[in-house]
Amino acid sequence: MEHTEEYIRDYLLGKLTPEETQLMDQELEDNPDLMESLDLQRDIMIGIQAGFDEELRKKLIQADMIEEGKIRSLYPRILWRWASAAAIVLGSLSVYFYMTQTSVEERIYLTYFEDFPNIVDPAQRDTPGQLNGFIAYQNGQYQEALERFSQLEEEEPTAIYATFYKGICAMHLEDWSMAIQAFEKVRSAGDQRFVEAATWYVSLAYLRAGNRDRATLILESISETPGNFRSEALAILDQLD
Amino acid sequence: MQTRDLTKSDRLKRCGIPLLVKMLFFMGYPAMAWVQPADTLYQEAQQAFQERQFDEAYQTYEKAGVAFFENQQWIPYLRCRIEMARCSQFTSIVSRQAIKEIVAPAMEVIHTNPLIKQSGEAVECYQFLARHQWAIEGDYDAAILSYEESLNICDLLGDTARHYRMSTLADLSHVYSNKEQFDQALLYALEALNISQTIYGENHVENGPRYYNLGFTYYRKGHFDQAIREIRKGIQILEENQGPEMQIGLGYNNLAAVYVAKLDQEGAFESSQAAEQILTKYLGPGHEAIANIYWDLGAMYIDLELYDLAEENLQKANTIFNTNFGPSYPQLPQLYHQLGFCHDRTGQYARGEKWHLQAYELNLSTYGPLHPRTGESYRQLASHYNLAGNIEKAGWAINEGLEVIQSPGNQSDMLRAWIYDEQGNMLSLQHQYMESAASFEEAVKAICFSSDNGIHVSADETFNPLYFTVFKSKKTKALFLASRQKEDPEILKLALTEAQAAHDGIRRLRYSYQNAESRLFLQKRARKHYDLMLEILFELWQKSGDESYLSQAWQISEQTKSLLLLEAIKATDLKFSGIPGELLDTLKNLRQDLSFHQQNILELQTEGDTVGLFHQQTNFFRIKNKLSVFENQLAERYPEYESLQLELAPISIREIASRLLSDNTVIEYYLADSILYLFTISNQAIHWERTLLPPDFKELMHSFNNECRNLEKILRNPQESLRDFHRQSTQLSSFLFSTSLSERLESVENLTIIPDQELGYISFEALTHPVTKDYLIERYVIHYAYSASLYHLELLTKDKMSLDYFAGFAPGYSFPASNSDATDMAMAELYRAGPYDLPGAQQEVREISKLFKGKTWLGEDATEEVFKAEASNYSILHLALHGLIDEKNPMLSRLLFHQRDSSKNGALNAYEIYNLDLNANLAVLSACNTAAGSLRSGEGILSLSRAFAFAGIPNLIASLWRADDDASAKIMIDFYEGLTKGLTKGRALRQAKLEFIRDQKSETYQHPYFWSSFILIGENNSTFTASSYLLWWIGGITIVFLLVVLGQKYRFNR
Repeated sequence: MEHTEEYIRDYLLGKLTPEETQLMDQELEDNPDLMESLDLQRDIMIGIQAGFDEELRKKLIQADMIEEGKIRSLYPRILWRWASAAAIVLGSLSVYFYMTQTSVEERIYLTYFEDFPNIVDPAQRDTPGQLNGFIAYQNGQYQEALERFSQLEEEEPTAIYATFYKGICAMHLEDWSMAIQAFEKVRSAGDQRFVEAATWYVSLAYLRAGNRDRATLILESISETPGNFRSEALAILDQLD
Repeated sequence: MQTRDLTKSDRLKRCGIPLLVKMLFFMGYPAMAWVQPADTLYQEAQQAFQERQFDEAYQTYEKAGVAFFENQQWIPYLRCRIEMARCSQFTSIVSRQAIKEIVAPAMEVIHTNPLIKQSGEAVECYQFLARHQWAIEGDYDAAILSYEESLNICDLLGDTARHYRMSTLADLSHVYSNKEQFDQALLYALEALNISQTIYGENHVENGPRYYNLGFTYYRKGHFDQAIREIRKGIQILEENQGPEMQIGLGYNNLAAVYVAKLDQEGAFESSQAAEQILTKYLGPGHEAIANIYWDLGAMYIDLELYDLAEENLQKANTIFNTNFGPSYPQLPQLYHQLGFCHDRTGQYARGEKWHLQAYELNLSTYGPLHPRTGESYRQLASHYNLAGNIEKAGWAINEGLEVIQSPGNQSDMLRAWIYDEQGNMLSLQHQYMESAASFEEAVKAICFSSDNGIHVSADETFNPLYFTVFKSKKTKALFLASRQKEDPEILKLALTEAQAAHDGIRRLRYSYQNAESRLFLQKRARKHYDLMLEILFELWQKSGDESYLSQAWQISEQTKSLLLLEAIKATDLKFSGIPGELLDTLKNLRQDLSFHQQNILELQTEGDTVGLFHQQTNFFRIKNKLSVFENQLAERYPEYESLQLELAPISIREIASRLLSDNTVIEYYLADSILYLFTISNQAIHWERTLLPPDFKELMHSFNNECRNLEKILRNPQESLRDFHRQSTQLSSFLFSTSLSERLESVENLTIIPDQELGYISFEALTHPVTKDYLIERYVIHYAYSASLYHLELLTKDKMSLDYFAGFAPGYSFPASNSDATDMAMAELYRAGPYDLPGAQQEVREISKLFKGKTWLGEDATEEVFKAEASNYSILHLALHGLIDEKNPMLSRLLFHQRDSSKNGALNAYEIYNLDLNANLAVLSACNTAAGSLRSGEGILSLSRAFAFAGIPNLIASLWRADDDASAKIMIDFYEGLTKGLTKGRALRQAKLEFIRDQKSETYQHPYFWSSFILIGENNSTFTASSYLLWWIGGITIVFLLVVLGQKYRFNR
């Protein structure tokens, strides 16, 4: 049997007849959902009690002025409060787990790793980029981009930029060894456009791959010379200490 | 009758019967027996003529003539000979010189029969004879005698011959114009018009050619504007009454000649085109009227300094004239002089001299030594020898010319002016500058209404503002050089007076040019004069410290910047001029019609639809003519209309200074050949300085601009590119942003740059600060204006803007376009690249839309049609898309929207933007090259952003070069975030750029290419208010709350 909110409220206020009350008691024992509705209704009424002036509340009840809609409108507020509380708890838990479960290396990586812009074939607003690898790269399709850069690397071994961006894609795909291999190759190739960035990225890759010593060594070299990544390298070294 | 005494053979010979007919006649076949009846033949000939079968018409008239002759029907016979003469103008059977032979037998009949002489046909015969005498033989006096005979017959015939009298007078006006006896010519032309109006009424087609006569006389007299007015009236009458199309074509032909003389390029091109379209249809390519068109085109190309094209056209005209009329055709000397001039201008003096001498000898032998035509040859020779530096021979030609103009009866004011002009040129070459100035003044006096002017003649007193300006400008230069020679500041002041007079002439001339293109061309021509004027003013200001010199200089500087744009924006002032609203509506409608047709023409040109193009062009010419006549009437009836245009004075330097906020300084540049002038204006002080530029300054600017825009080099070697950029930037800054200027601007934050000429391509943000060596953007908020007058208008626009009305467009380009859809190279290149989506652009609009209320159209929704329908409803327009620039034709530069289907390319062209009526306060054109384009001296860069300004948007953010998709997105999002924080537009853009520079880890992206392209054109004082909707909500909620509280209180009390 289904009961309206009004019926439940009457039950809580003792307005039902003794027979109706007995029947309701029986039903509450058998039906856990109904019990849940009753609990909720009770909470609401407690809420009303807490939020309203006692005398006014009595007046309202006496005059039977509490309308169904008004009571209902309080649901979201209550739910919101619960949701906020839950969010705070969850947030705190997440922070706790992040701090305790993720490693320093991982945290550093997440903080400092950023895409490198397309400096080979950037799209202009009168001509689009010509190389498909970059379209996938700029659209965040790293697997596809990696395949295209790998293919390009095979076809044209001197295209060092393909190796560099393949490394970035590998970082996104968390293939650290591929990333390290790629960036080391770029560093040894000596293309000044990429050497500095490759050095920076390879340090992050080593760090993420667990080779903290190698990463520190590289970061120290970055921090010793003026460059675009010097301040970041110093900050990471600080954190690693 | 005498004819009866002639033998059969004589009679046939004299009536001009072909050989075959003669043979048959001698064999005893009477004419009537083997030919059709004369009347039938005549009718057939008429029919053929109407169908423009001129060969057939000519031959049939000839046969009919024979028949009438045999029947001794003399009047119809004369009619046939007249019609044959008429046909000879269009047929290839006989040459143009044949008129005399055609008319001769008729003349014989007239001479031998006094009764026949008293007929309209006899008048026409005399007219044809006279036309041959002056037009082909150049014998004006013989022609005048023939015309007088014609007039005598008309007198005898009385009122019935009014029509003949009118046409004779019209012809006579032509002859007297060519004889340079303009008073007589004008008298006859006016009388002819008067008769025509009396016979036919005010608005009859017959009046059209009469207005042409009048116009031609004014043209020859040098009153070009009056000539244009009269000819246009004639064309309009013919067009309105659906008069003969060929007559309309001839009207355009006349008009083209006047525009050429007036140096009104666009008017000349349009008229030539209209004439060519009509006349080739009727006359074929070998007619002398077509030769006239080639001649006009040749003269225009000389003016445009396209000498190869000029020679090609002049030679074509030469060939046609020689073929039709032989080497002694009287118009040929003028053509030869022009060919000679063409060679002179390219330094081929020997070839030039050959042409000039050939022309001179022809004129001398035809007209004698004292005729104005021979005088014209002396003038041309003098010009040639002056250019070639042969003073001795120039002196000889000038002396001969002076003799011509001093001979009794000479009425040619223009010849007088030109001879004195050449004398002035020669004296300047001899460094006799004061004497040279006196000669130029004589030239000026020759073209003034009254000859008893004082020493200084003003622009209002001339009938020819063009040559008034030319001579006054030359006089200025002569006096300027004289002041240096004699070190006399008083002469310098005289030079300034003359310069001012020339400036007035330029303004008057500008007003008389009804085409924007012609006005632009005039601005370009006037530039040299303004350079000189500023030099004079600067010297006088330095010597005296008198601020009036500075004010004048400022006015000149402003006069050379975006005047057309200012005129368009201020055109709304017309409604306050007292002109009735309905007339203004007509004016507006005509202008709109004209724009509409202009737009269609451009579209059809792009599509290559020649049939449609022809139709549109015909409509365009018709409306143009109508508009022109209407404007002339408006100016006549309402002098306010003229004065509003003439008095479009730029803002004064004091006024702009008083409008500036304390942290704002305006820097206006004026770039002369080797001098840079700089006006620095704040509300505290005004400075004017001059920097001498090295000869390679333009190359330096060019190199700097190259370094800014060379993406390939930047991507290949960013370090080297940045190094080179800084070197160029430092060098250029030493001229454009000197140490002394930077010291003066120490406490200033806000700079409004008003560039000039090529400086309009420079991003000042990327220049190097002379002291700190940083980019200028790190020190100043920099924004730009087309001119101070326009900047002033922008300052007057509403202070606050609402955030609510944001419209963002970022189209998708997924439509599979093929190369065959491309209308040009730029489009083809884009299509060739395959899918050409811009992920950055879409992200940019998506992110910005989160900051503003309004609407965005992304991907397939962002179409040109939607933009056109919606754009006028928003106060901020943001367009993130592909932009393609057309250097050759700026009107075809475009923004690419989503291409909905293959029939539409989705391009919003500049010419379409010009015709939009937009209400936005700010437009952000986040595409390539939206502030770039071709430079037009005197108006600036004709860019897409200028088109948006024209459409009514006071503030623009646009790119000086290509826009990188990724970098643009970042900068634009940060710019709008800045706006939401209450920053001004300039400050928000600066902050966005600085953040971009700071955040870059790649040297490539640190290059100014990626961050310095976008500039703010407009004011930088206003900020955005909070959303007006939000304000309404807040207000509404507050009221409801108060009502609830009051209600509760009331109930509680109760």
